[in-house]
Amino acid sequence: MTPDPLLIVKDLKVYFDTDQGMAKAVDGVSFRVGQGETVCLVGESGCGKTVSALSILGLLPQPPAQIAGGKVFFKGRDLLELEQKDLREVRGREISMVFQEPMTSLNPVFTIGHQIEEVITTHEGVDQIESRQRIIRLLNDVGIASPEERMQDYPHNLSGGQRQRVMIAMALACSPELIIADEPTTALDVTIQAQILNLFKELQEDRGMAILQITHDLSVVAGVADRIYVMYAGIMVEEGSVWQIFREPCHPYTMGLLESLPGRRAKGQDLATIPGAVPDPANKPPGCPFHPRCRYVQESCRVQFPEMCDFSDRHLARCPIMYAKRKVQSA
Amino acid sequence: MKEDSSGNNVILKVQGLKKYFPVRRGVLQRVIGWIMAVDGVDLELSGGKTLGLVGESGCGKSTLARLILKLVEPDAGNIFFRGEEITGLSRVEMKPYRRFMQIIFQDPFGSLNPRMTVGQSIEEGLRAVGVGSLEQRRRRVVELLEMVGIPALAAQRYPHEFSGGQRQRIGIARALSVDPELIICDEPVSALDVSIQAQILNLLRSLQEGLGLTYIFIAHDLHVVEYVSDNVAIMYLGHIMEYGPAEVVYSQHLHPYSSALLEAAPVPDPSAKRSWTPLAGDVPSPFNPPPGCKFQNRCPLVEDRCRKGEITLYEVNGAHRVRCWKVLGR
Repeated sequence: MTPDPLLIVKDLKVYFDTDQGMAKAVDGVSFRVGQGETVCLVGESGCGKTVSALSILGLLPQPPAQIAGGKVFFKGRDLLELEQKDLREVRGREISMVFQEPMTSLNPVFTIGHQIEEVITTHEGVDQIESRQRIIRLLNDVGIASPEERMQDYPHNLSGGQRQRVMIAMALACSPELIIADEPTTALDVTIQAQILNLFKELQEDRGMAILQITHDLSVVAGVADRIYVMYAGIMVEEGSVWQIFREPCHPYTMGLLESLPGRRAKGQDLATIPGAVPDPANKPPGCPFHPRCRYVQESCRVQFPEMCDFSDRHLARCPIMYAKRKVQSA
Repeated sequence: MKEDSSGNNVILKVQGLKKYFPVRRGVLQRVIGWIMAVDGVDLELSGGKTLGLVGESGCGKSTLARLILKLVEPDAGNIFFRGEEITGLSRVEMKPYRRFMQIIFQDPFGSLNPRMTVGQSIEEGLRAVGVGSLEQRRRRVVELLEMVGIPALAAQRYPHEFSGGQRQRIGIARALSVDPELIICDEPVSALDVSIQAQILNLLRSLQEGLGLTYIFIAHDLHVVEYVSDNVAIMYLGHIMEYGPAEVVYSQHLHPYSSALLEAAPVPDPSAKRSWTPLAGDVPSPFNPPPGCKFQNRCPLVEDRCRKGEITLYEVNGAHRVRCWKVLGR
């Protein structure tokens, strides 16, 4: 069953004007998030995953960024066409965001109760008594003990995990249909990370919201994602279900990433590596941007930008070479 | 090389190491309590092996590393390097030992001087320990750079011209310049992307084989630690909770905290569905912890007696030790 797409990003292009030239941080990226789905955007630093997410909500300062093309449909409306005023209505109410470092996204001089209240009163005309009750319920939902007292606390009174819970409470305040979470557990310790990931899962089961999670951590992805999009150097290189990506990765980059995880390799053996490093976004190689690091590289990869190839049911990868190889194998 | 009674070549031995940091408040800056960063740690490390230190923030793993290097002075306990006690040594007396003990940090950019070329940075260490003439030192720099997989021409360039992975290689070259025996790797791959992380881990492994290095490897990524370590110590609030050979600690861990920690680590496999409830509560602050077991307020097996007496590390079998009486049926 394919859920109705809630968010459709089509051929999004975000460029940055830099001293070194035009950096094509996101260069034609498409993905979709269905209702109630957890979708993960995965990739290493500089692959454009965060830029893609921020431009959905118009959160990138322009300039230096410029949206050079593409559409972002949310429930049929193109968010890129909206006025700031209308976009503000969408932000927080229909789509909200959770960031990596809760300390920098919370205001240190206001109590957390005040900050959650701000979200509620901005979007909904509710009185103080009702908003107070909502805050207490929200804090309770995200697993903060004795919420009546905690809402008087300032961010510095809370631990990292509790701050992230408060951020999630703020994100949930207006019951959005989509939460964009950018590396929500990267700054947390493992046991706390497990708590937060569990919390997301429970909330999703209760409320049926969709989650777009952006992360570099493949282990986290394996546990939470329904669908995965793998990005490299500003383009989408592979997409598929969590099973397709982990069991039968088709793009050499995805294969390399999975093989270089230490958990999969016996001790005393060298880890598989991807040679070289991610290209400079202002100076990408021609053809397939991954070709200088690819072990299956052929002449055509150096000149021709690869097409997305359809490997199996909704499992796509941008590699005609692997596509031909698999064809031969299965024939 | 010194051999101990069991025939192992013990390079580092630590006994009852403690470090308490005072917490001061008020106008008079009176001490109102102590942060027990490291609270009685015993360790023994054989040459050519890797000890992995695991634990969440505030567990004291980095303080322990700094104590071993004598970058901070311990409040109690002894440190022996190659059988010689280095605990009370002054800065000057420490100098001859320094070259044998080096450290690699998480962010090599923070530890390389941006105004010095890579060659100058590496050469500085050599000069400090008085290696040869300028010509010999230059040759050694080239040799070191090649050893870590950086072209020799890079010696002329500045740190900002390199990527994160390359900078970590330069940090490693610098640590290697003085022929150390023990290298403390403090989160050496945490800031790196997965594909680069694998390159650095492979490099550290081949250097260990080639040069017989001993590592203390600190990382929060439990899979990385499992991959690199011979022995693993799991720390919690300044105590070692469980210690043993890596494969034993990872597959037959006994301490309730070890279980909670290791099972919380996400696995890169979608079929590994979670059947457990994550450990509740936050990592408590190391400020004035309660008497008795430090894990008592998060422990699912806690009993009254855990809140009273001090619990020691009990031997399970061989090198495997655990700081919990409950799981041993005592």
